[in-house]
Amino acid sequence: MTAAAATPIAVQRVAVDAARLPNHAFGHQSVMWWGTVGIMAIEGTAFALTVFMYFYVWTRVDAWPPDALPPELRWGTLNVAILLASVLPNYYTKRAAERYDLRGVRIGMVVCLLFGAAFIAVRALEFTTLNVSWDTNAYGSAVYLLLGLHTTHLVTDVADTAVLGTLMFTGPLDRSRFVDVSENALYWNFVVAAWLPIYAVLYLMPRWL
Amino acid sequence: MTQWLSIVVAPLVFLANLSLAYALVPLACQTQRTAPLHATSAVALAIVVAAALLAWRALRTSDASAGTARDDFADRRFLSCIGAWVSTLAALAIVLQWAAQAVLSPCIA
Amino acid sequence: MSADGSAGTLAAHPGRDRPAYSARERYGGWVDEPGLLGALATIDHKRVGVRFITTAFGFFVLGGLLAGLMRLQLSRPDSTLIGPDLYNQLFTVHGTTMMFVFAVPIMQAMGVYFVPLMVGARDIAFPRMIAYAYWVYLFGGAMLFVALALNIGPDAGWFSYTPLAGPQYGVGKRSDFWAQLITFTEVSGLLVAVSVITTIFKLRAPGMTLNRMPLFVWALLITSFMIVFALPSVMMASTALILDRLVGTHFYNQAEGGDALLWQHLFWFFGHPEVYFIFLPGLGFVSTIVGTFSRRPVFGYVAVVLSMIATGFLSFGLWVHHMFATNVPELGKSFFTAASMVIAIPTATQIFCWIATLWTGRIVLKTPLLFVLGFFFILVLGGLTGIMLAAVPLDLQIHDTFFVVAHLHYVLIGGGVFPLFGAFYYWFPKVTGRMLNETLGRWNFWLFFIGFNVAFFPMHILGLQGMPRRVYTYAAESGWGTLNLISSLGAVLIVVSVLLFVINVVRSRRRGTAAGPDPWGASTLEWATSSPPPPGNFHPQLAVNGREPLWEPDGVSGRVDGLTNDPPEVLVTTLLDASPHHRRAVPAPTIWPLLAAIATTVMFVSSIFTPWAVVWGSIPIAIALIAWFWPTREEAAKHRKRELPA
Repeated sequence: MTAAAATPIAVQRVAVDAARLPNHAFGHQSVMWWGTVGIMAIEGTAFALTVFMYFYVWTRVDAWPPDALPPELRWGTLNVAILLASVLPNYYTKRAAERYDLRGVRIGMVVCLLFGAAFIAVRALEFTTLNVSWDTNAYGSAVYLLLGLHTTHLVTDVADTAVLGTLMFTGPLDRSRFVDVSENALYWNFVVAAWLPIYAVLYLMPRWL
Repeated sequence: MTQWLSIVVAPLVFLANLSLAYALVPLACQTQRTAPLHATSAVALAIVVAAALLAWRALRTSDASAGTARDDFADRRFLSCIGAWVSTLAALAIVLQWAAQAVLSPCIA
Repeated sequence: MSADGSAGTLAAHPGRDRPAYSARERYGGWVDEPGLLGALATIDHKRVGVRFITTAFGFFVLGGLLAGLMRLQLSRPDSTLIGPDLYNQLFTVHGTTMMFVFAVPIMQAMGVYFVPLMVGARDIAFPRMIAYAYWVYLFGGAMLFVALALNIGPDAGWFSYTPLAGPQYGVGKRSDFWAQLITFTEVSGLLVAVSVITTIFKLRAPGMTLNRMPLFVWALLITSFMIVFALPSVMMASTALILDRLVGTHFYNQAEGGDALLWQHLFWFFGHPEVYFIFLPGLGFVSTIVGTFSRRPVFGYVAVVLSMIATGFLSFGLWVHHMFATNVPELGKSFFTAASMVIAIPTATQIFCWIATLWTGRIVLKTPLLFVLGFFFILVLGGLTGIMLAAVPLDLQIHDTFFVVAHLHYVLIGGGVFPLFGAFYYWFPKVTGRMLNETLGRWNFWLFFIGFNVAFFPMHILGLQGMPRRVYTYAAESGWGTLNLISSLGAVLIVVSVLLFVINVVRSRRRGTAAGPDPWGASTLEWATSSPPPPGNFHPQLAVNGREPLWEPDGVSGRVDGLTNDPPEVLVTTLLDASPHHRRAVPAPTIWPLLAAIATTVMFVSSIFTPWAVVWGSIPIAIALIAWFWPTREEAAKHRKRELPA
């Protein structure tokens, strides 16, 4: 039994003719945006908590970093530059997706992936110049956790982009895939934005405070 | 959209103040100065009271616009009403916490 | 069949429900393949929801049996029935199961089933993710019990304090199983929360403004937001614990700059909101049942909503009240005393609203309402002991005694489980199409209510007399024997009560009275479709014009045309006003969420034994996720056909 049995009169009126509506949308009107933003909220909270853990450990000792030099600046700073620069092809890709410009999306994603390869390589180098190990002391543990957490996001973001990028070359495609490209760009911005405070905490705070 | 200020921002300010004051207590004992604690509570209370006042005012002006379509009016009042009460409760919580600061020394451990 | 493939209304197409029409002809792509493969691949939120609820209930029974064993051991002094090591595992797995594997998941699962229906949507957002979340949850819970069965169950308590759970004292893999259980249930919980939030914000029936959402939906919305911001804390805490134990980090190691209290902060920052993940949906059930069985809308809708919002926020400011017995500064503790008392205000507000509703309504005293009345009594008692515990000096005397055990069971069982049982009796007819037996229901309720109070009230006194928690036995000279025996007898009554419930469910599934779409005469949209609802929930989807669509004269303002069943489409509406915005095709059922969950399980369990599992274990997960996401040509072609001309 459908609602017709319960309220026959009202149901005969057509309140909405959804056939006139598009079958996808960009930005905050789309369901995918909410899913992406939900994940960003979760991961953002995780990052914030890890930063809290780092500062908590700091309050337990006098010298900072304890028994170690701060991480070397060069690779982390280079990554700041690469990540910030990657925002440009990322933005271009997002705008191309919103115009349904398949060629633009393909080019943009390839460029983003090149940046991705670069910052992952530099991240690997970062790990070699931290001047502490995860099992040296709680400071070292916090450094590795924070950097490791962000690295996980870098890797999954690049992997997502690679998979989606491949799909944009091979198909099968429909317009909702352009929405996916747009949301992926949003997530990319998040991963870049998350790096800035973490870089400050890991590399700059020990030198300034 | 200022209703979101009183619904979301006010309680977040309460939580931020709680966390900040909590973290500052050992420092207050070390430096023997409770001024920073009082300062954060004062700032937090000011923000939350401002949000509450905005919400109460929005509630009163939406009383006046009774001529609009029934549901539009109801929806605007709904959010303002929630904001007014949530921010008032947040203000109360901040005041109670401040009372503790006024009575207890930060050095009792 | 009309041009857009929808089944249309009965009035418009007489004879449409002739037996000759198969489910697939009526509901198109909403219908699963038959048989085992269809069952494993289903992403129908109702099928997954029922599975989720049933599984969580199964864990409730298992956790309850563990408690039964504990009560058996404690019923006499100097008992040698169960030794200390097994007892440690029992109380740990009991608490862990009830908190992480039963209570929070079942509340979310009720949301998975009922939120889409109550907001008038044809599906939940991200149905494949919900299916994955269920499997991950099931495998995680199973892992916990496998560990217990092998006598390597976690034994450091359900909140697993360091350093007891750390590498130095937590020998073997026991606490690693605990920590990984957290990972399983938190991944599952977070994914469900994101899906529920998205469903509530974006898939509501046209006309269902925020102002018109059912109170249960508000409860789940707030709970889901809380989950998003609180669960990461225990995720990070348990990750750091595993790292300490597996690869030698020092987060909780005092000797190398870490701190055991860091664990407590991280855990309780999550742990306090967690009890509200259980309590808030309970409040949602109460609002729903009070409204229906008073035959009137809940008094003070706005007050109830804002109370739930306030509770949600405030609950993040209470966590240190679990740490009053540590060396945290007293002034700091007093902040949390203040907040812990303030949170009573919104709860009291809601209770007054419900009392006003019942007082001014025409009460129908059926089993769901009985459980709600039980909730009032038990929850209020629990709240009062909570106010007591919020005072630091009092807490210092009774921390870690049975007084706290009494308090937590009064609030969680009173505030969560009683409303849950009320919700079972209320919504069983909708899920199965049959009523639960009312007489058995009354026996169920009274045995549970009496049994609960007999079991737990004496614990207040035992706690005040000094009986500590988590002791496997106690001396006869303590004088605690009589009250413990009484408590254990109460536990027996609870077991009988739950058994009656199970019997009621099993019998009623086959022989219960047929329910029809709306046996209670309720007002919300889930009652505007058949019992059980068809695949795709509403054919056609309805548009609403009021808070109680089935009670108000123009409550249902019309129907939504133009959504196909093949591909199955949902209507996406705007956040505040729920005005129609666009259509969205629902993905097809698929086995990949299950396979991805299996891959995830392999990685999680292996990483208890070696950190490299995180690396090589991610490869099968990545493959499964890619296969899950990758569209088929058929799907893409259908979507293109449904696009508007450019």
